[in-house]
Amino acid sequence: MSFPQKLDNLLLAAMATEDFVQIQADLTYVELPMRQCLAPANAPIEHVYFVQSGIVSVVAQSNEFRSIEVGIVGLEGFSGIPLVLGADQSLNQEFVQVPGTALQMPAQQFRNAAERLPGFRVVLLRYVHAYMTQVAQSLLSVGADFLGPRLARWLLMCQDRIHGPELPITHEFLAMMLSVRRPGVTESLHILEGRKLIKANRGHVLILDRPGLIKLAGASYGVSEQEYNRLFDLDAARDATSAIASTPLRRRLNLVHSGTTS
Amino acid sequence: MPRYFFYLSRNGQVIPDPEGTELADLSEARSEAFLNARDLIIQILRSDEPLPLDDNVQVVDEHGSLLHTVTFKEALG
Repeated sequence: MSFPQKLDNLLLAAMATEDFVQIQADLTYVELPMRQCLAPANAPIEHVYFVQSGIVSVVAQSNEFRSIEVGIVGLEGFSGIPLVLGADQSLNQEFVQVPGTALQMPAQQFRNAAERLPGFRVVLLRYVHAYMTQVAQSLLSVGADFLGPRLARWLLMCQDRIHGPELPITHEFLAMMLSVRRPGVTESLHILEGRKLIKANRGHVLILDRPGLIKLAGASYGVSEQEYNRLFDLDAARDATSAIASTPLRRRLNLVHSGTTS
Repeated sequence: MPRYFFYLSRNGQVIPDPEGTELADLSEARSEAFLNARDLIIQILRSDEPLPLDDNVQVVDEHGSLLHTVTFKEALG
């Protein structure tokens, strides 16, 4: 595939141009097909993926009956975080949950670039912090919220990372993501439908009323999104030469669809 | 393997299961319904909603025939 005309990945867009030109040759534009494993559990991570579109799920699993989604990654991040932290593999698995595209970079070149380019490293580490914030907020939501708000939060987080209101998601998959049995998802979707917030079809969830979902999600949604924006807005303010200074606001996380109903 | 559907009878309304689950036989489907009912009870209790003990999980086959019912009361036992 040829190189994309525009950088949708917000981290690459946030890099200083002089850093970006140094890694550009190591980036390959690839498709992310449904369910593709980008980083297996307990095996060396071979590539990182700067997501351009679609959604990657990070799943913690101890056996086939115990798994939960610990994080999601879209155009705001990259898969393969352990590599920037000095580890070569993870206990978690990363796989494509909503198909899309990415810029793929081999692990060795990625590590070298993170070592060599302080500006690149700062962007990556700042994202790791934002990601850890997301994971912490997810844990808070699992512990403190009942299923309705958790589901609303998860749907909002997915919608932040895709274009349009339709999420290609099955009940079975949602159950795995939220670590409940499937009827819990069926009932919660039914309640959300009754409030005209969504329309659930077999294999699809259509978002009808985003502000309504935000209201239902309450305090569980928005904190980690604001933290991400804060971190990268600071970047833009400090470094007027970075590409993100000219990135339209609507392309940033959490502002993609805010206030709209579709 | 046959596909079993787990309908929910909640507050006087039946919520169909659009996907179903492939299971070896009815005995497995009954166990699944029992576990499903208990998991739903956990979610309902956490949400501070009332727990109507007659509400239930129904096992339905691919033709829509009702095969088995587990009430919340039974699932609590």
